[in-house]
Amino acid sequence: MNTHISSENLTAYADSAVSAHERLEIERHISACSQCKIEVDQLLRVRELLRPHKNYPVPPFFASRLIAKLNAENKRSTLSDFVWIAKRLMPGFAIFLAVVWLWASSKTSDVSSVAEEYFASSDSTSAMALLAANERDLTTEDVLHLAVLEPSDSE
Amino acid sequence: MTVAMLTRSDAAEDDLSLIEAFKAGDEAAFTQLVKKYQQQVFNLLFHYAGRKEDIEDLAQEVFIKVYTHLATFETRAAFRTWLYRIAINVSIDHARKRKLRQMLSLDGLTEWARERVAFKNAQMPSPQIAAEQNDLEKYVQRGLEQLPEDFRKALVLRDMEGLEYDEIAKITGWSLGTVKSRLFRGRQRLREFLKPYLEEAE
Repeated sequence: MNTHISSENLTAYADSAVSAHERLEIERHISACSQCKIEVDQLLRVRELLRPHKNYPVPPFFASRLIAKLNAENKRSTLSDFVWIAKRLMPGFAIFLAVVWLWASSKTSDVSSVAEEYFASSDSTSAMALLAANERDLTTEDVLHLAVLEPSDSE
Repeated sequence: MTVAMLTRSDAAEDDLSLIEAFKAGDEAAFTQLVKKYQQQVFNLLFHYAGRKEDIEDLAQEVFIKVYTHLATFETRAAFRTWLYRIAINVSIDHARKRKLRQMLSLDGLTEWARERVAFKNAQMPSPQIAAEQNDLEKYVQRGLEQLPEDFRKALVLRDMEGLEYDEIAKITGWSLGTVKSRLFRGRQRLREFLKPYLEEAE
């Protein structure tokens, strides 16, 4: 009796994955070796039991739902790209806002000091001279500001 | 060249043209790929993961990964091999996460322990009962689930999905010798599990 066929070759034989020459050799061996024949039969049996007899049912409209989900994720990723850019721009924007605020507050204090002197002056001539000295024309904004700052005793 | 090989290369060429169309901006080509392979992906996920509850989520995850990476897919490789590798990895990741979730929650831990005990104590139904209850398929599936992961992978890809040895080698990264030995040992282990059925049926 020849040595038994290796387990790898028996598996390949059961799967018809051997060359014609190997097939002949194995068939010659198993015709005389009951042990290897039982081994092959059981391999084939297990393989047969594993063979699926029906497909798993694909849920209806699976492809359509998948495409819809992909489209939604694409939109979400566009939005997250926007958020990412916004986050990167945030510090620069904050600095810009701070500069604008500082500039605006310095302008307000100018108007306030002019307004205080304006109301402190006793007559309109000196008030006009004061405005001329400050080289300022009263804008609507200044007038509104003056109205707010106007002291009650000036009426 | 055999008829099977011709069919395989025809299918691969067909895939290649769909992939090229998708890369050129044709989104409908992707839908065609999904429709072509959805059945195989569902079968593989069911046989490999053995769960029905979240199978659609898993299949969606597989195709979303395909969509995301298709632009970088190297067309020298076979699409089906690549797709199966993604599906197997998604199944493995999902099983790991599920196990971890179970271990982290007290209820989950109890459930996991109960499942293990029930599984170990399970009695093999006689062939008659199995046939009557149409349970054999479920029992085979259960036998598969108790196999070590690599043996299960080999059996599912070969015996359930009908892949050739070289394809299995590419999907798993194993050598051809390893594919053969894992198939043999996997079948041997499954045979032990199904022994009562096989003996009574003889």
